[in-house]
Amino acid sequence: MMKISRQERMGLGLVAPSFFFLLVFFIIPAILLFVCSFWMAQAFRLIPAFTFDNYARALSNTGFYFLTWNALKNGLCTAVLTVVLSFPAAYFIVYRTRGNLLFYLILVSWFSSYLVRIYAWRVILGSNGLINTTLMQLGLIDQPLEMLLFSPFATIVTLTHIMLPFGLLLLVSALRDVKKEYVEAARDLGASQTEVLTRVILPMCYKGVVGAFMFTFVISAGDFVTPQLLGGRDGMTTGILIANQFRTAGNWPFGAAMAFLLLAAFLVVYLGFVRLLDLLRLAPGRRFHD
Amino acid sequence: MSTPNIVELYGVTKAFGALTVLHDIDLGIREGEILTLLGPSGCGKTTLMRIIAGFEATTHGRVTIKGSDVSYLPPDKRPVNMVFQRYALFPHLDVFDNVAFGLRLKKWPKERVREAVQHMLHLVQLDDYGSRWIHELSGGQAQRVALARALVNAPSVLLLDEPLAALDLKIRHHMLAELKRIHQETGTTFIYVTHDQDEATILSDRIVLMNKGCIEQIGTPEEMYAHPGSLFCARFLGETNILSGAVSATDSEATFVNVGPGTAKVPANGTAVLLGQSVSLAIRPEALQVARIGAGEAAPEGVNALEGVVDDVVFMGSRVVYSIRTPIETIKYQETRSLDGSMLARGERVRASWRPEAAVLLTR
Amino acid sequence: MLRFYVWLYVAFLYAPIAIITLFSFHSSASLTFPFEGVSLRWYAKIFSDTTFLNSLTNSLIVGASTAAVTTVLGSLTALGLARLKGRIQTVFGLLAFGPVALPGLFLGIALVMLFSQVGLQRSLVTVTIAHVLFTLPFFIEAVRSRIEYFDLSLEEAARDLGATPLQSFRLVTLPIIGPTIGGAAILSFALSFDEFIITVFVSGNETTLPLTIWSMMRRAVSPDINAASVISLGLSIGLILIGGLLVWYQRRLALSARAKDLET
Ligand SMILES: Nc1ncnc2c1ncn2[C@@H]1O[C@H](COP(=O)(O)OP(=O)(O)OP(=O)(O)O)[C@@H](O)[C@H]1O
Ligand SMILES: [Mg+2]
Repeated sequence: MMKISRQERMGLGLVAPSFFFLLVFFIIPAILLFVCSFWMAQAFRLIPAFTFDNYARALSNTGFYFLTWNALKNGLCTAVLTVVLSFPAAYFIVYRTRGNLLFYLILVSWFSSYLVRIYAWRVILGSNGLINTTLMQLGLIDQPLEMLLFSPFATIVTLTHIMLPFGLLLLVSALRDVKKEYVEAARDLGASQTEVLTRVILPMCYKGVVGAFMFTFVISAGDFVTPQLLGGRDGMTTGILIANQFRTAGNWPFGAAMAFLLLAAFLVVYLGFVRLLDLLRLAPGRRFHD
Repeated sequence: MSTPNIVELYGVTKAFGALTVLHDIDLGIREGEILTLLGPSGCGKTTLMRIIAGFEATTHGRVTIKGSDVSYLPPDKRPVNMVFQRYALFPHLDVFDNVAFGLRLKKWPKERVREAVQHMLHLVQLDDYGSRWIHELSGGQAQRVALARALVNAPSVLLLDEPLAALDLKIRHHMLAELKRIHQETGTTFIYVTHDQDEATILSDRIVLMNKGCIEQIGTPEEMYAHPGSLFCARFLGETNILSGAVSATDSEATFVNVGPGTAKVPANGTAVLLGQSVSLAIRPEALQVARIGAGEAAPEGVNALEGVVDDVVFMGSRVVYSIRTPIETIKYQETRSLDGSMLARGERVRASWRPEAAVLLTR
Repeated sequence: MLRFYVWLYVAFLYAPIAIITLFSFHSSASLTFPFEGVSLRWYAKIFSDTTFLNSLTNSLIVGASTAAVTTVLGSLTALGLARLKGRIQTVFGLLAFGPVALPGLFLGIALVMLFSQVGLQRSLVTVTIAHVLFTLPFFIEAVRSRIEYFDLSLEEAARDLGATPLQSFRLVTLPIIGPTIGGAAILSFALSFDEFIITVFVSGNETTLPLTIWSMMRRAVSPDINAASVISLGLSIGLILIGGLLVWYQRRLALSARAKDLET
């Protein structure tokens, strides 16, 4: 028998409402969605069944692989860019500044609405957009650069712009745990600035780096709005396809199956990323001797 | 120019903004010694040490190590290593990999790294701890690992910034002995920072006493204790009685000072004093002789003596410390506890006297 | 060098927003330089658009309801988590974080599936439910760090002195974590106000501001989107700034009070 203290009983009572809420609106819907991925749809009506047809249909279609590759590519590029671009800024904020003003300045931009930022990039990158017209007025080009907008490039730039502040937040809180003392100890033992980074700072804020990378990756690879508005025809992703099943075309079970396939792909990326860090000797909790 | 000093500081000054925390420090550290930087909190000990290690740049002045100027070398290029106050052991590495950290950066071959690390772990008596994680160590063990991690690099100088501050009293005494042993076995020069005078006297070959960013006095623990150069020094190292008064006479042999109703004679020690100048005398509590004055007996006036009443008696193990209220100061007197129980009691009238050599004349 | 880079980083973050804001005051319909003159015509136009005004009202309603529900649920959860130990705490902590670890798309389709299966009409209510699900993890994370720092034994001391659980909460716990809860509530509001990805699935006939901006964007690039965007930006950023200042001010009050305590 497990003994439960009064404090713990009270704790359970306090988390109960949220637990109930999450059960009803998170766990049950997720299970329902999973169950539904084995159903059938006929004439926009769901028919309970147990069939793997939806999965088979997705997996036998080369288009699905192409769209999923696009989604993963968007996610990977955005995640790499976000982490690589934010890390130096986070480093600067943690080790080189006293106050938090700069940090807050960056965080505030997180709240500049998602759609507005997509819209802004459309204005900037469009063929009559700011960059093209400016370049043409300067006489550097005579035709608008069409590939700026409606391309994976536009999608990735925009998603990176959207993800930077939150990625930075995660990295800053991870770096705050790596006290200056550890950096100095490493320097004292003969590490150059790069060696301090690879042998001390990165392994010590491993969780933050993995968190920032995966969070950015999942959100951008699963995003369907940015690629739809800015990605162009070649930038179509699985996310758009799934969203369409639920908004227009209406084959929900097929959409659900694709959603779970996409999640599985995310899991593979996660495992791959963790393995990569391990191979690069950036993971903590490893012994280097026998 | 060759020098017997392994580290030399020339006119080192350090300012943080408008606040100058080190003033024109000149200091030489001899090869193989344990030199302690001692002083009250905030006097600049850590800053001085960080300047030697290369974590702070000097505002003015130069630092040389083994005769070559290192003022502009970054910390990783200096042949010194540091033991941090809270150890700063890397939590993502185990004990072995922590100790091996510096050697691996120097690209030592695997076999040699292992030998050196095992040798070091043996030296700090942690032979079987190589695979422990840092959070599995006690405070004293973490301290040893920090020592091993620094010493394995065979630094010219080992810097220790209050390494025992985080340990409790018992382990601290044990670690002091260990530090001494390790110092003897390795022969490395130690620069040791502390604000604890006991640690400093137990451990040091020489003590550098610092005050408000300046060096107050340098000397062996015995010298510092027996011949404090200033009031600050006399007060900081050990218990002492300070009597102030004006110079009443002076000749080539001795100086005479009016202390309260009596006069004190101090042998001349080269300190120049003027007639009438106010000076202080420092007399250690154990250098006094105290005798009872019987009831009705007149107190003998005289040189180097004060009359008073026992105010308080405190037992400190094998010693007894008395507070004696005299007309000018309450002074402390200390003696080893006698077994026959012939101790003074509170309220008894006594006469405290001292030999002329026992008093140190201080002009600042 | 690094400093220069960081300012570049900040400039990159703000440049698009600055450009949109600039062109929302443009007197002509062109979205390119040279800038021809300043006018408020696009604001006038958008404020006479009833769809826009309706959706703005809806967004404010949803934001406020979301903030209210999230604050109640989230505060209870954060307080509860502080009392739990070991595995239960870890598991529930992970569960509460779940909704943001998955893409919004996934939450959207899962919810729409649930609503259709139980026959719940899509409306502002379903939107609010979705927004609570999305903001709850952020709220809990924001408040938890503060509560972990807060000492449970303070509450116990109050109980020991004869306070009922509610009294000890009101007199001891709330004053300490109050500012943080206020800040997190504002955070929830701002997150809800900008939420689009899940909303697109669970909304009915009544639209929210992002949905309106979305349909404007799909129609054509017209400068009144700029004005609508700036209003949306201004509201959420302004709110966050106010929230941040509030939390900061409260903390400073608390700190100076503590400093005074130490002096006496
Ligand atoms: N980075 C810094 N910026 C500004 N002032 C500093 C900095 N580092 C130290 N100081 C100041 O320099 C003075 C000396 O500090 P230091 O740390 O050297 O003292 P310390 O002798 O080691 O004291 P303690 O025994 O308390 O460790 C202090 O007044 C301190 O406030
Ligand atoms: Mg110090």
